[in-house]
Amino acid sequence: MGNSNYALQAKNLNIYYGEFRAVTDVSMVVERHKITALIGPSGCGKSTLLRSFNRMNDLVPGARVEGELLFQDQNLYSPFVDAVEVRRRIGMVFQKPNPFPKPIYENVAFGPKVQGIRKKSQLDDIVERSLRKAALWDEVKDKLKKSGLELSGGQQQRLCIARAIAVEPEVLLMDEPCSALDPIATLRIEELMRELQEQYTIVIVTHNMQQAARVSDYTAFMMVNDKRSGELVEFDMTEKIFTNPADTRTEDYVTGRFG
Amino acid sequence: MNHVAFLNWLLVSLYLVDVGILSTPIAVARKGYSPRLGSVIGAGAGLIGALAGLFIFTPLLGLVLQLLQAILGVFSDNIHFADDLKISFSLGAGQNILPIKFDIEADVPRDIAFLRSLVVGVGTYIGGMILLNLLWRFIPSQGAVTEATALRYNTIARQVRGRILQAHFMVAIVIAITVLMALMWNIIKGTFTMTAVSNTVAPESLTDGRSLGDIEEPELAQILVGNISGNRGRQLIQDYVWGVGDAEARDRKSEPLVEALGKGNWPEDLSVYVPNQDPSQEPEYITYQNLSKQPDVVAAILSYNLTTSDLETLVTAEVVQPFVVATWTLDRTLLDYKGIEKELDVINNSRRESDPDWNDARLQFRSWLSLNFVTQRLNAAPELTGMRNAILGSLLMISITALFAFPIGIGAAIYLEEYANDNWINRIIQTNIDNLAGVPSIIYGLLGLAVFVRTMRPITSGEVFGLGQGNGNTVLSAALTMGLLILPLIIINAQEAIQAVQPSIRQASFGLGATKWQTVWNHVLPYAMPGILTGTILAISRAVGETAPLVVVGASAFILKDPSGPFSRFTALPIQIYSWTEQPRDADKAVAAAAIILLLALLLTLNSIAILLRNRFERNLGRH
Ligand SMILES: Nc1ncnc2c1ncn2[C@@H]1O[C@H](COP(=O)(O)OP(=O)(O)O)[C@@H](O)[C@H]1O
Ligand SMILES: [Mg+2]
Repeated sequence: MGNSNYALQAKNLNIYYGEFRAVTDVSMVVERHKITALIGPSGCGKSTLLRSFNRMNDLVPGARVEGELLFQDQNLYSPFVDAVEVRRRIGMVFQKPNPFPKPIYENVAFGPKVQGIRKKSQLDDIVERSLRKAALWDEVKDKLKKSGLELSGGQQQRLCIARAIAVEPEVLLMDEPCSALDPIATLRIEELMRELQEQYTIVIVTHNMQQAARVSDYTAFMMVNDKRSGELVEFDMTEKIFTNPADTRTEDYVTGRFG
Repeated sequence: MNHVAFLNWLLVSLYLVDVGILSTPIAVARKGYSPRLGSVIGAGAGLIGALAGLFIFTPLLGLVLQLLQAILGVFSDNIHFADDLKISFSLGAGQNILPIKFDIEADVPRDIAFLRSLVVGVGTYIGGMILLNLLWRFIPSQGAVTEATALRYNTIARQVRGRILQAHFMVAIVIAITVLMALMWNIIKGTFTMTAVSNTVAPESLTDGRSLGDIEEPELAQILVGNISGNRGRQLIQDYVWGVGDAEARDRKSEPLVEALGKGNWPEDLSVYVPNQDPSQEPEYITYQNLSKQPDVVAAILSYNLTTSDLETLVTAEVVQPFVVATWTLDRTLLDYKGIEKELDVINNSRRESDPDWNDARLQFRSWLSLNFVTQRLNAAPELTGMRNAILGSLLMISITALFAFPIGIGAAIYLEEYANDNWINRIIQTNIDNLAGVPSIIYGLLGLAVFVRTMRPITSGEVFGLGQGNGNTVLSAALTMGLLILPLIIINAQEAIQAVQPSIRQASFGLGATKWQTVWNHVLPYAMPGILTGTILAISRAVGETAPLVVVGASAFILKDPSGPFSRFTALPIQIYSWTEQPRDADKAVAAAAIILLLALLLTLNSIAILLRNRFERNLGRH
């Protein structure tokens, strides 16, 4: 029996693209209702690891995952688990805002619809609730029929968050969600993450050290080893990582001496 | 010199001048000269080079070839390729390749003419390129150029070059448009013509001076039947009411006509028996066989089944028989009316001499494209023919083609793009589809003949459904053949449209827990739809214009009935264009021209629909 405080538990995860091992031997836990940040230099496998958490890597031809990833004591990589089901419970927000070129309403309603919710009133409810949670409702409530592409970059990203939480996932994975946004939009998203933390478990990949320090409770620092494969160097409370890291490489990185 | 050689020289010179203009500005700017001047000098150098090439390098090349011949002559006596390439510096020497006198030597054997023109072309090119290269290389540099001058000159040089290239594209566009306009004009001037029309029978003599338009159906039918032979009358019934081929009519000639035509086509008050029979005998039914002796019955049936305007057209066609003696194209009509009148007099005079009953032909401006041309059915006489059955045939065919090819094409594209693994079977399928798009249409015609017309005859003829006439040359066969023809085009276009859908959209959908099919159906397909539709309509436009496969699968060149469904025989617009151009008279060509305009109009309509649909879909997607 695993600890019920853990939303996800990675045990010796190895991720391959064909012959290339992009991530080596990562073991870590993601605690419930906490924000866990993944940091590290470019190309160290942060996105790869994050995508393995909801089996998005299955979509990459030739990608393969070894090891165990426990979600409520269930190994997500056991042959009996359907990737589609996994993604309904572990949602994802991408680096570049990618709303569907459809009305705002349809963007949010799509997730519930594919899960079989058809009733208009129920969908209306979900759309409003999700947009409110994503702090977007007041800005778009009068133009739900407008295309999602007509919003600003920051609004689009919040729309993507609303879309992801409309299916009531337990975990929300975010891959550098602010890297395409201006500072003000970034701040709004960070506030939003703090609010969402009450109901969801969040894993965020970020390039931005301050962001990791500001928003996260736990931080995992990754780096490539001599075989250019990503390894987990250190995983601890964020405060500890940024003030008193155990590994000198972590210290070098978070103080900006490297990377 | 022969004219091929001259043309060759001209083209090569143009090319050299062009190279001079384009490349010299940059070459001279580097050495500190004005680039604008450079382009002029370049043009001059190119031209001088072309002349030098003609007068120096061409004869030299001839000499080299002759030397080569002399050397090869040691080994064999049969080598004579350079015999006609004599070198001479005298002007106007007939046999020489030096071409001062541009006389066209009609009796020069082809291969010699070709060799000479080749020698002229190559010689000119060598000369021109040598001179241009000399210019670029050996122009003295103006010493050290300051950075600023170099920058300025290089900028100007690139601008000059850009402007000249732009001029090239303009010229290309102008040429293309001119050619298209010439084509259109050629069609239009054949469609709107002055015609000389003569009536075989003056219509007033049929109607005591009343106009044909004022006469009611029964009387029109009487006039019609009264002025044609009994057999012709029977033929009209067969073509316009019964609608079967000669063979079937012969087989069923003794069947009571009322059964053959069907009760619905039989006038209620018309007896089904031959009138005025001996009452003591068993009454004899009216049949196809005895119909030709019953003009009143023929008139009654025709008047019952045909509209007034149909009957009027028939009277004109069968009795009055106006015919176009000659036509003059639109440009002559506008520019040379006097000349046309003179020609008409000549025609009338000569006809009158040989034929005392000749009704003088009168000039009549005629638009061969008219409402009647669209709404009337085919007729063997170009004066009377319409294209209704051909238009309907084309429309019916492409509708079935689209119904068949669109879903299959999209399905195949989705499979190949979204579901197919990268294994050898799928690679072979993909390669095949790509190659099939380039197969000549006649091959598809042959395939359609073998598969749809012959092998699948029971289905394509409608036999298994109890419909049709057992013949495989139906709309359905043609539509399926056209479907095969455009399937690769639709698939390739759809694949490209599907590939163009951004991967981030797919990821977003999968990330929300959508299955593959939900992703394809809700996102990939809608976003690819504008592209898919455009590709499909372009493919269908191609099918509308194709002629060869139709000829092979047996579309009829001449048919009177409208196509009644997928299992009927039919004709189509391209077939009509093809067959009317084959006919001998001026008027036949005019019909072909008008039919071409109809076909173009149909294509334009289809393309406009494509654009409208695409805009609609794009608006739905919120792209502007
Ligand atoms: N789809 C892919 N196919 C092959 N190699 C990949 C793919 N995605 C990422 N990689 C490789 O995996 C390594 C880690 O990439 P990534 O996870 O994107 O790093 P990060 O997000 O930390 O910048 C890199 O070396 C990258 O080249
Ligand atoms: Mg990344």
